[in-house]
Amino acid sequence: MALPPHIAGGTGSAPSRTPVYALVGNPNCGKSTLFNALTGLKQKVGNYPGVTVEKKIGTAYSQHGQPITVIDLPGAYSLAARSPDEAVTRDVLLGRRADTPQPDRILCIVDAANLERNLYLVHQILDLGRPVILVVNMMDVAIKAGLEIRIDRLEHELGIPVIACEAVNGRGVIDLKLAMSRADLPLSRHAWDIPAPIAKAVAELQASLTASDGKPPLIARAEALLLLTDQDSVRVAGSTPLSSRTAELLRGWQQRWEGEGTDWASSLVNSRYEAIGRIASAAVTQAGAAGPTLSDKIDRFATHPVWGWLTLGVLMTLLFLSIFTLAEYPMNLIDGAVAALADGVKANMAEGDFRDLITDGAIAGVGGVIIFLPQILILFFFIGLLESTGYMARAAFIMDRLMSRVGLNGKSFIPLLSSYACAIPGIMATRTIEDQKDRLVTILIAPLMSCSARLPVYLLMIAALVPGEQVPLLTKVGIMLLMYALGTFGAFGFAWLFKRTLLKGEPPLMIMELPPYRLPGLKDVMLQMFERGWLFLRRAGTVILGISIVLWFLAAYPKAPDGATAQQQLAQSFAGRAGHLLEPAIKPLGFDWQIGIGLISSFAAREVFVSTMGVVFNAEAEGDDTAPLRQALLAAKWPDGRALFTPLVCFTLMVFYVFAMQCVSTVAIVRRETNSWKWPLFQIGYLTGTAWILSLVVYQGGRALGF
Amino acid sequence: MSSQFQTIAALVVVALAVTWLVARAVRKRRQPGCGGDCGCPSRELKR
Amino acid sequence: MKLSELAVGASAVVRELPKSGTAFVRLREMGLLAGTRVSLIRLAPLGDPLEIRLRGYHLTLRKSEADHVLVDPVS
Repeated sequence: MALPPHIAGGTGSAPSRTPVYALVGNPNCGKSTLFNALTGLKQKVGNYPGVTVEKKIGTAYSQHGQPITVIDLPGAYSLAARSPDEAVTRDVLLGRRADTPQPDRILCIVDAANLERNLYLVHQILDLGRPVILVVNMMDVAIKAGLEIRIDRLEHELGIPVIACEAVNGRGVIDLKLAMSRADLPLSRHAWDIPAPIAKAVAELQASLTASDGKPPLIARAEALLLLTDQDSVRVAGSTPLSSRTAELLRGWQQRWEGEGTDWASSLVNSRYEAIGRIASAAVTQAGAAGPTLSDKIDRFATHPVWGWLTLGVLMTLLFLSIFTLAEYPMNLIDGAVAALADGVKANMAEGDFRDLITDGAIAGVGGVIIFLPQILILFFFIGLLESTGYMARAAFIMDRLMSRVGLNGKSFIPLLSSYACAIPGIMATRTIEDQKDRLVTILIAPLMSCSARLPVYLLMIAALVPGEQVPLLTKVGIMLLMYALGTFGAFGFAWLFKRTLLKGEPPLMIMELPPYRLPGLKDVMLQMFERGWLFLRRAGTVILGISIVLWFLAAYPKAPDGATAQQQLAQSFAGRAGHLLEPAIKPLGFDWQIGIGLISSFAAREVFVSTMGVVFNAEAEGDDTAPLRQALLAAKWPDGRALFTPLVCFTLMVFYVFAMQCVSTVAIVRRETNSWKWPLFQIGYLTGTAWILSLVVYQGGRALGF
Repeated sequence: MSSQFQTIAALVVVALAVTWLVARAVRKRRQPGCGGDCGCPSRELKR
Repeated sequence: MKLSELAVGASAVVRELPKSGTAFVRLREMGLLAGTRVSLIRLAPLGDPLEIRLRGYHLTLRKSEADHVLVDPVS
């Protein structure tokens, strides 16, 4: 995406240019919904399902059609960042990121039903000296909870525009757009008292940050306040180290307070909350004591020692069952359409290489992958639903103790669950994990959760494994669950091992908000689901199409002499030669060179295995029939006439796919998230090694047992 | 279409596909990190 | 008494939090300060972490942190 010129341009605020707003707020306050309501489909996204982990930029239009740029920043509780997610928010707001100029104006969104804690971040942001608009979201929820919020009092206390809003149904969005297009936004005149013992230090640090670190005065004050909120100055200062003068000054004050016994870190937080308390008591009236809310009632059940587990189990089973049952009908439709297309091309074109390229290469390759679109949509829909209702946080709450057994915390549960869809969003979702070592362990084990790209491989192998045309649903689900369980237990085993050896650390924290249950924002969930689906299709239409064409070529060239059989042709081809090279390494696992071709091509993406098998074995099929791949596989033989895809080999192949690290995109994302090649290489090594050893054990063990 | 013409057409398409895939891989190497698939943040949004 | 010793459903006012430690800075920023009223809502099915209510919202923390938060029970 190209950045709009006014963003790329620098920070000067010429009156003619469109204003750039940053949208900031606590997690779970409806920020993404507001962003969607403001910008509609005018978004440049780089996000993944679940948590907002990267910045999104969108364009909103004022009542007069003027464009307004909005940057959606990750949800944060405080500018004193604890997680990489919050660090992005802090750095953009403080103007520390080279790629994003400091926003001109800030849109703070708060949850009306939870005003005090939400205002803490707002209070920090007001210190930045930028015009701020406060959006009080979820007014309806607050009213239901018996809270009366007086917007005019808030405006009076803070001195900034305050807009009441219900982002879910679009109420208040017009008022907000009106406020956003105002040319003159007042600066807050809210003043609060920095506690006396600290005020002098703030002034000195501010002066030093301005003089020695080159910070603008207001930013310097905000940074000084942050430095005095957290003992860990490195964490607060971010990637740019403090100048030695500032660092010395900070150390001096800290030592002095240590000596005097001043609880400096908490006194700043205390005085902020005191100021917030005054604002809140002026603006919020609690009308009578509210009884237990609906959320409380649901939680009595959903986090119950017995029913809680049952709920979690039922939801997970439903998730996977629906992937198989609901998706079946659309999958058959797609399958039929792909076959009809291939037949149509065959009927209308003369025989030749180009026709083979279209049918055996392009259509067979892309069609074999697109067929999984329905399943992927369903999976993303469910994950979006669980996120949006607030159940994901409960799942983390319930799972925390178990996760802590292997040294992780409940927060790893969400990234790992997302990894069942695709390891990439899962790995990106680890940014909400504060502890670096925990985050690394979660990243390392995430590819063990069987992602949707493995589904095609499993489904094909199950079809080849079970005799008969129709695989009974229960057998299918059973084998499938076994594979998922194998990966999951493997993941926990490795997490346990890593936390005890490579990445020893403190037991992680589990400080997490449990947001009230909400009706799912179906629009937002659908939007995310279609975004995912579209990206998947785009991938099928580009990378996988390209790879399918190349694979067809590798299997069709160099040409064997005239009169050679299809089998001889494949053996003679480039692909056949590469497979033959690999065969000694995989023969102990029961795989031949043809499967070897599939394993190599899986590095592009695991689902390519299926299309590769299509190309490899359809190349052998004679005449015009587009026989199901399953029959082609069952007909495949070793040179000595033994069947190639015996049930044991199919099973071994599935085990191999559970563990092997085969996805180039995942390697790339791990490289980016860990900022080194060390961890992705380690990951490839340990996962593929484990896959090989376990497959060896399964195959040789199975043979010894007579399978 | 003659068989020979089809062979030439097929080889041209294959050559285009290879060129594109290689160009993509090279582009990625110069900009290590997220592959641009599966909703990676665009280059401008990245650090 | 310790926050972790509070009975499920009981309320208390926070007396003291440790001065340092990542967990306690974050807890403060989340609004858990000396003088804040909290109630223990429930324990997770396996006994840890705890769910508490403060300032109108629900928060989880592990027993290991709650052990260091001193509270005065209120009736």
